[in-house]
Amino acid sequence: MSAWPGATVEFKVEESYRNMKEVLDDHPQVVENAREAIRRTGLALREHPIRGGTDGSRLCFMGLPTPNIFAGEHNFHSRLEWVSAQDMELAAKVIVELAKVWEERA
Amino acid sequence: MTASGATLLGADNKAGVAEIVAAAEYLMKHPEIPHGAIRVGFTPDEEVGARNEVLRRQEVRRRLRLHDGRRDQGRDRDGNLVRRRDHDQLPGQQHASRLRQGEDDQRHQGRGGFHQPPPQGPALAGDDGGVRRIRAPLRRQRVGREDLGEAPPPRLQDGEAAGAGGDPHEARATRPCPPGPAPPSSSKSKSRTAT
Repeated sequence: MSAWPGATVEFKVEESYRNMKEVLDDHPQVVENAREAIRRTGLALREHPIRGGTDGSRLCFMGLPTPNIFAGEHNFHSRLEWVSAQDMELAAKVIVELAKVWEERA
Repeated sequence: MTASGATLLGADNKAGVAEIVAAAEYLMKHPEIPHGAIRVGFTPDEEVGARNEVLRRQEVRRRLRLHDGRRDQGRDRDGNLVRRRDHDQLPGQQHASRLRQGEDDQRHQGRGGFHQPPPQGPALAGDDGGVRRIRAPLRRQRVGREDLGEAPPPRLQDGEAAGAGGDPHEARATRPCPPGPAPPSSSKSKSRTAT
């Protein structure tokens, strides 16, 4: 900075979202039920944290633990995003199974 | 399936919306499948929603909350009084208190350039358990290629110097930068404090 006399730097931090894991860890049944729904649909579980996220992470801190489940899409955020009808069908089945799992475990 | 190309994204998240609606339709057509109260919420601008609290906390509490015990009875389609199976109170309620003071609700207002829901709130469905049709407040703004086509940017003629006219951005880009001091060497800058 001293090489550019008179220059100023403005530094501002704005929180956009937080890590939903803080909230999900306190409510393990939410993710566990999703796992069970996916298993019952006949799919192999593949879990991984994902960078980013806005609405789910915000909803978590609004009091509604909101992990993400798959929608089946490929090539996210590119011009060539696509999804297969078969995967969409499986995703819808997972949601139906999820409703059943929550009812059973209520 | 791919997107039509008319909007920003394709599979993400239209596929998800379609799947949720398909699952809702399935559950409505199969009332023999037992399930608790389900509420469906769609938020606009998921990708840029970080700075827009399109879902206000109060709305989430009021409209997504599972029954709190006072409303644990309802009537089925035939008018019979039935007890609802509700799984939980809003399970993460205490986490809302982790938000900073004043950081909620109307915070998105006054932030231009984003798709904002009207004051009455976002599109959240479901009041009494079943999946039902609602009328969602929607504000649309269409900016397409055809809307921008009336004033095409001026084109430079062959041989015309860039910056001599036409696009003001061109002119700006080609103006030489004023000479500045040489950047400090890395060894010096480490020991200096930013002003």
